[in-house]
Formats: sequence, C-alpha cells, structure tokens
Amino acid sequence: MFDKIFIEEKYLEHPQVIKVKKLFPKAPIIQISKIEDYFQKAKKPYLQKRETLNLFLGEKKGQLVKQAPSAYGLSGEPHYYYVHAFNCIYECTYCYLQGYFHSPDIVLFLNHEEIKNEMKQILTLHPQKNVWFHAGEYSDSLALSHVSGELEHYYPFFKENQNAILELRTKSVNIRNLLKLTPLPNMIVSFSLSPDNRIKKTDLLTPPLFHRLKAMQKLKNQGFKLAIHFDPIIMSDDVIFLYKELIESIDSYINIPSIEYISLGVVRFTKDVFTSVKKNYPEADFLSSTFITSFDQKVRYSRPVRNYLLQEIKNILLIHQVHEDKIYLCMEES
Amino acid sequence: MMVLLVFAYLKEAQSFIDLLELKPYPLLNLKLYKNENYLLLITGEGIVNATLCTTSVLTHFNQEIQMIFNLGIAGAINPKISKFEIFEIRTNYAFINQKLEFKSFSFETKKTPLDLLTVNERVLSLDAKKQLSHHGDLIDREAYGISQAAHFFKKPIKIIKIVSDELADEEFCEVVKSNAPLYSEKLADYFLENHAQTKPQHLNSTKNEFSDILNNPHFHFTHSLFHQTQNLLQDLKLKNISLKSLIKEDFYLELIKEEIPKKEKSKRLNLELKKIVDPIGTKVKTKLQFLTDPFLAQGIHIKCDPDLESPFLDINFKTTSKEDLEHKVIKLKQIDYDSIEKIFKGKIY
Repeated sequence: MFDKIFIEEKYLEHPQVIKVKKLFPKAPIIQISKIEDYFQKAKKPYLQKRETLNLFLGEKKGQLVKQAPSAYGLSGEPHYYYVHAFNCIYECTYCYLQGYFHSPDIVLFLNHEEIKNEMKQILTLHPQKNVWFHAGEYSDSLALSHVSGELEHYYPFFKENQNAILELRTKSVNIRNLLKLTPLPNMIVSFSLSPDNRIKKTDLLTPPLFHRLKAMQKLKNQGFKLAIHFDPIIMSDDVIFLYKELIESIDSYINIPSIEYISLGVVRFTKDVFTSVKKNYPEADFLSSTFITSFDQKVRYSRPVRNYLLQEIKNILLIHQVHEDKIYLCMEES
Repeated sequence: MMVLLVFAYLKEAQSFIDLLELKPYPLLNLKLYKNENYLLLITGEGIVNATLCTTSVLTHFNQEIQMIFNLGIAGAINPKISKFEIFEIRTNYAFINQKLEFKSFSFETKKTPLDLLTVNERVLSLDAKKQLSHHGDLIDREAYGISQAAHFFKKPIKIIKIVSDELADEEFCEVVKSNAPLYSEKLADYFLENHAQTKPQHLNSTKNEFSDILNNPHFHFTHSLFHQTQNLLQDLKLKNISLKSLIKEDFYLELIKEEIPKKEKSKRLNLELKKIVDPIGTKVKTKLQFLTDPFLAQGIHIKCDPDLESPFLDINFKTTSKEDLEHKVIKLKQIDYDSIEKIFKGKIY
C-alpha cells in the first residue's frame, strides 16, 4: 500500500509506529527529523498517489484544533475540527485535497495528547455549551483508523467530556475498531453518501453505496448515532430521481428519520482546486455543467440551480419524515 | 511540425544526427542541427546551459517547434534500476544547492514511470545519494532547465533517459565518454520505435473529432460560435452523448432541412446543444427571459446577472419626454420581481 514510510526520529519507538511497521513489513522505513523536511517540499502531482504513495508519521505542529467555517454543522453550537491527518487513500475526482496540499502522500499525526489538550482548552471557552469536534476535514476519519489507532486515544476524552461532541466523517466501511467500543451519546458517525452511479463515476476507490449502508446498519444496530452528508450533490439530468432512489435505499437500511442530522451541500471548488480537477480529470462528466464564481469566490453552479437541487432533495427528505430541524445546508448562503 | 531533440553531449546525440541525417544549422553560438522535421540541440552540461540554449532555440523557432524531447544518460539512485534500461520520466524535480525546488514538472507517460532529479552539483557520497533517493529514481544535470524553458513557451515535452551504472561522479563522466555511442544507439532505437511519429496533443485536433458537425456545409459558424459549439460538443462528449447519436436526432435532421440562412442555423444548433448539455440551466434562463423579454417592446432592456449568482436586474432605457418617462415607470412597476426571486430560490418547475 505504501511505497515508503517516513517516521520522525522521536516517534521511532512509539507503540503505534511499531504496529504500523508490522502492518506494512515490506515498506522501507526512512528515519527523518521532521515531516516538513520531506512532505510538500517539492510539488508532487496528485495522481502519483495511484502509483507511489508514501506514509509520514510524526508530530502536528501549529494549530491542532481549528474553528470550523460558518454553516459547517447544525447551527447554534460552536464547531471545531481537529487535525489528525493529511490526505486520503480514496480518490474522489472533486476532492479539494487535490488542490490543497502539494503532495498526495498520507500524513498521520501521533501527538494526540496535545490535540486533546487543545480540545480541553476550547471546552473551557464555551462553558455550559455543547462543542462539536469534527474529524475528517483533511482526511477520511475512519479509512485508516486501523493504521492510526487514534480511536482509542479520543474515545476516553469524549467519554469524560459529555459536552464535547465528536463527529467522525467518513466514506469508508472500516468500522471494525469502532464496533469494539461502546457507543457514546456524544459520538456521531457521519457518512458521506451519493447515488450509487455517482459514487462509481467520481468517488474512485471508495466502498460502494451498498457496503456503506450495511456498515451504517451495523453501527445503528449496536447503538451508534449516525448522520449523513449529501455532499457534494453533483448535477446530472436525472439527479433528483437518483436522490429519491438513494433516500429510499437509506430508509430501507436505517429508518432515515432516526438519523441525527443530514447535511446538503452542492459541489463547490476553490479556483485552484477547480483548475486541478480539470487537469487531473479532464474527462469528468460533471465538468460539462456550467460553473460560475459565486458569492465567496468559490466555483459553483448558478444560484437558481444550487437552490433547486437543495430544495428538491430537502423536499424528498421531508416526505420521508425527516424533521426539518435535522436538515442543514452546508457552506451555502441562505 | 518540427520536433526539437535536446541533449547535453554530442556523443549522446550522435546516432540521432546520423540516422535522421541532420545538418549543422548556424544560430548564435549554439550547437544546433536540423532537417525538415527535426531540430537537434546540444546544450552542454548543467541547468544554466540547458535553460539558456533551449530558450534561445525556442525563441527563434517558436512557431515551428511543436514538441520537445530531452534525451540522454541519467544516473540511477534507485538500486532496483538496471543499466541500459530506458525510462520516460513521470516527474522532474530539481535539487539545487542542497535544496529541493518546490516547482516540479510532470509529463504524461505510458511506460513504467520514474521520477528524475536534476542536480546542480556533483553527487559523490553514498549518503547524498540515499538522501536524493527519497525524492526520485534517477539523476541528471540538465532536464529541469529544459523542462522550465518548455513550460515557459507552453510546449509539450517528454524526457527519455537511459540508465548508466550507479557510479561516483568522476567515473560516471568517463563511462559516459567511452560508452556514449552505445547509449546513443539504444536511445535512438527506442525513440524511432516509440516516438518518431509523435504528434503534440493539441494537434490531435478537436476539429476532426467533431468535423461531422463543425465542417458540415449546412452550417456557417462565426469564429466565436465555432468555439462555443466546439465546447458544447466537448461537453456532450463528457456527458457520454456520442456525436453519431446526436446527428441522428430529429432536431438535428430537421434543422439541416430547414431553409434558413446557414448562420441562423448554426445559432439554432448552438441553442439546441445548450439545452442538451445543461437542461436545468437552460430552463432557468428561459424562465427569466419569459419575465424580462416582454419589456423589450417598450424599449426597456432588462438583463439579469450573467452568472445568475445575484438576483439583481440591470435595466436600461432611453426616454424622450416626461410622458414617455411616466409611461416607462408604470411599465417598470409591472416587472414581476417576486417571480424572479423565486427562480433564484430554486423554484424552476
């Protein structure tokens, strides 16, 4: 899976590093003083991840927990995301990571204690309030959880701090380690879902819809709280019909009104990412749509088209008895 | 079409000069050879020479040169690579003054992809080689400069390298000198077999791909309409709608038969293609036009935000008298702004 594994010197004897070495016995180990000496040092084309993907293990420096932008989660409560990893093993053709980092190599950070300390400080800023901590902003939060071993680090923290809410965002079905844990009332596993044929076209290397729905069902049966992200919604001639089918499928696996919340977001790109998408995936079907520069300088569909998609899909959810309060529009101006 | 072949040393290039029957071409102080289809440049050693010479040739032959190949010998820093193997480079990095340059150049390659590091000083110690091997598989002294010049002139480039032994640098130079004819022969064989017919990508004209429509004598496309239609046809291709099926569609066959000017026919085709490419976007525009076009008869031009991002209206009219102004103000009050806002809120159907 990994071409080379770069490990910061001070973590060479870290228990997780020893586990990683056993997981990938054939990958050459390169001892480095710090990740920044190698990662993003030169621009490594995004699609090289298909042939040679390296793994970096080390320390996250700088800000470890960051305030999320507005309209990131359910409104009314503060939202933060913590930086536990960079980059993803999947290859979603619209993914913003292709224009965000200058290398597709995977970085897993090991200084979880420091991240938790920062979370603790943030909790003190919001007494008497629920504070959300989202994982998976720069990486899928579960896809490599067996490699990072991070669930066991964060679980006790959220068990102790009930006003801290953990959201694990994922497209993976890597739930084995999660199923070993007892569900917490303040822990939500959120799945990004798209219609099956959209997943096949754009979410390259990700598990098919059916597998994700099965994983959700297993978690629900064990008592885990679930959420759904319909994000990004991508235009096609039959898009509304496809979302109707998708919502019916979800409902057949996990009674959809029981979902904690559902976010809706229409596909959007920063200008740099849009340039990268056109370069990396010139044959992507969604590039045939008309895109404009929108209110926040991001590249999106025109406002009537975005609102049409959001309203139509929201209506389907309402028909399926999803409470309106549980639906929010992600990164969209109202 | 002219192809530029760039080498560092004459000995690496000799087989090419012989096989392609290239003759010396006097230009500045360059070592340049030429025939009808090829230019061959010897840059000398190092990034500076490579950049300077390539830039000079590209400046002089900018119109003619459509494709560049950098060919030559590279040292292996990946121990798995064998001597005399030939590789097309995937990404070219530069390691200058012990520092990795951030900018890199990537190339399309179908063969086993390897990464090349262009270095500006001799790499003697094993430690240094090990350090470099974290970033690439081969090292050379010129490719980055040639890539940079090609990038500057927006010319497609391929880098093809033949591997020498993993040797210390002084020995490396000797080996290059003594074995150069052999390396050159192998490179020339590889090039002639795989790339002698290479055409740059942009010459694989989209004109041909869509010529059944774009060259159809029933249509007359102005320059801008031609490009718009070509882009729409490209979008249809992305949507997996084939040109073959499109030209069998009723609308197309009827349009061909219609007795209207060719230019008008082309415009109509353009509109029909837009409907297929972006049915919802077209619906939005049609609905907005339905609300704004009736005012044209009163000399009032109403335009929506061309990006359809903001529900503002750009209203223009001329007025000739107080009465005319009052009449137009009454008309303006009839603009159905509520319906326009509803469209912006997504109520399309």
